Amino acid sequence: MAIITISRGSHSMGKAVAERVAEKLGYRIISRDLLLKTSDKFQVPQHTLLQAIHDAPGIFERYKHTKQIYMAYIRSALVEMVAEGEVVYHGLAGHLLLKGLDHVLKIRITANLEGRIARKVKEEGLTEQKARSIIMDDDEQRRKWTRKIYETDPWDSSLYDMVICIDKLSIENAVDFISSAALTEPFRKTEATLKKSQDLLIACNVKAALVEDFSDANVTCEYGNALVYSTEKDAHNIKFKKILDRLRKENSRIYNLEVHTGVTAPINAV
Amino acid sequence: MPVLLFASENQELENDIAHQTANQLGYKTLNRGSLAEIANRHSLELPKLEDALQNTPSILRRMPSKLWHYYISCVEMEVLDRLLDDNVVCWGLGAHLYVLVVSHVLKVRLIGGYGQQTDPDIKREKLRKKWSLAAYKREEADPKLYDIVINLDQIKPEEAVGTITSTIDYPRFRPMTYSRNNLMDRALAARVKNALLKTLTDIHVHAQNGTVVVTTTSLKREKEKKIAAIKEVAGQVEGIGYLEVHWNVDPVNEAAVSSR
Repeated sequence: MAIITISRGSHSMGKAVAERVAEKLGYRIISRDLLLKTSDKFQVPQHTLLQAIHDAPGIFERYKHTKQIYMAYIRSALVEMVAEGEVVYHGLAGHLLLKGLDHVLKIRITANLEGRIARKVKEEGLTEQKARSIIMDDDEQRRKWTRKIYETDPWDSSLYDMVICIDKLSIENAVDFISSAALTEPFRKTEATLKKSQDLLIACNVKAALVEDFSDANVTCEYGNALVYSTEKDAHNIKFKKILDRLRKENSRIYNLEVHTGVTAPINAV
Repeated sequence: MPVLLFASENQELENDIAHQTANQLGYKTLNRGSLAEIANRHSLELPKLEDALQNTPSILRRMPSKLWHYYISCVEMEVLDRLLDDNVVCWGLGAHLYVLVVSHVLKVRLIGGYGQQTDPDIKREKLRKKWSLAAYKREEADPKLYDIVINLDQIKPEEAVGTITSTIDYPRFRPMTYSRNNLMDRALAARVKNALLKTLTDIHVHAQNGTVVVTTTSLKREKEKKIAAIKEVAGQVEGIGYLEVHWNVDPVNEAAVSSR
């Protein structure tokens, strides 16, 4: 009953592995449909979200926090989609977007560059040079994006529970590893993990509601009690208060919503 | 049958998992327990050999770069020689850094499992990175060096053992003529390198189908002497079909000499 995230470079066979794992375990598969869900939920065009999740932030975006806003929306939509478990997500940054959920099995599929280029050439009929340049550029964008947004390197193995190199091992081998690991105790859905997912969803929804105007606000939630960590100035802002009042009224899962000022937000805050 | 290589900064867990895997598969083990035998065979001091596998060269510890490279080459040569036997689980000897592209070798890296990572753990990781870069110009943590990386923070050791033992059964890990020849070439290159490093420095050796190519650098005026020395020493190593020496000028020392 796990949540599985599969991170991959382009043409690393990660998609095929994800599809086979989902088929074998009877799980739902999520990829780019996440953007559709986010687009519907927050009324943002899909191509804007796609850009936010793919390209590294430019100089101006760093000041306007646009990536931060869209990432908060995407995270909120993803947590909502996976909260019930039995899901394989193989889109971008799943292991980072679902940070805070211990029962997520985080996998990275790698493949050597030459093999990836050969697959791209075969599938898209490009020249080898063109395919190499596209794949290397894509990898670089991924690296920059993850470094800028999450201050971490997507190639860092410690971000994952398992890194599988698909060159020597086959898709079937990878599927076997992932499905047997998914059924082990640390990744099973329990009452506690379900509660944690619901709490994370509340925190993400509160963050998404605030992020556009109050990007510095951070949120935690435990047993339905949400805590917003903000600056003194934000806490006295009328718009800030209105947003929180609306959330209290509209979100029945929020048991209590408090604002803390002048306190550093905990490391697990959204 | 296959060869299994483990690498980890967490030596305790690496030991446990490697031993459990070897027991379940009925394979031989090759680890730091063999160092005494290696030291004895090459007339090396055991504490120094252990130190060379742990630390980078240091004049303070009386381990200059030349000696350090020689000590490491002794381990590399002996390990590769023993890996030709098959059915071996090997760890703690840096084999994952020099056994590359051999299809019947499964390389597994174990990470995590410390609980909360402490300062000594971080220091050890940094030391390993420094060592692997100095010895083989490869970063130990680079996932591209391995077939599987397993994070033991969530996955239990017994589950990791289960995954590894089931993997090794796959037909693609059965030794084939090509992969055996590949490993034999690496073992031959390691023997030549070891013989040369006894007296020479700056030596790189590559072997393919018994043909050995030695690449080296020196001052222009020492070219003939160095090539002759390489041919003489390497020529005595058993198993060489054909020997080629590629020489390049050492630009730094050459510039220093000509500016005097």
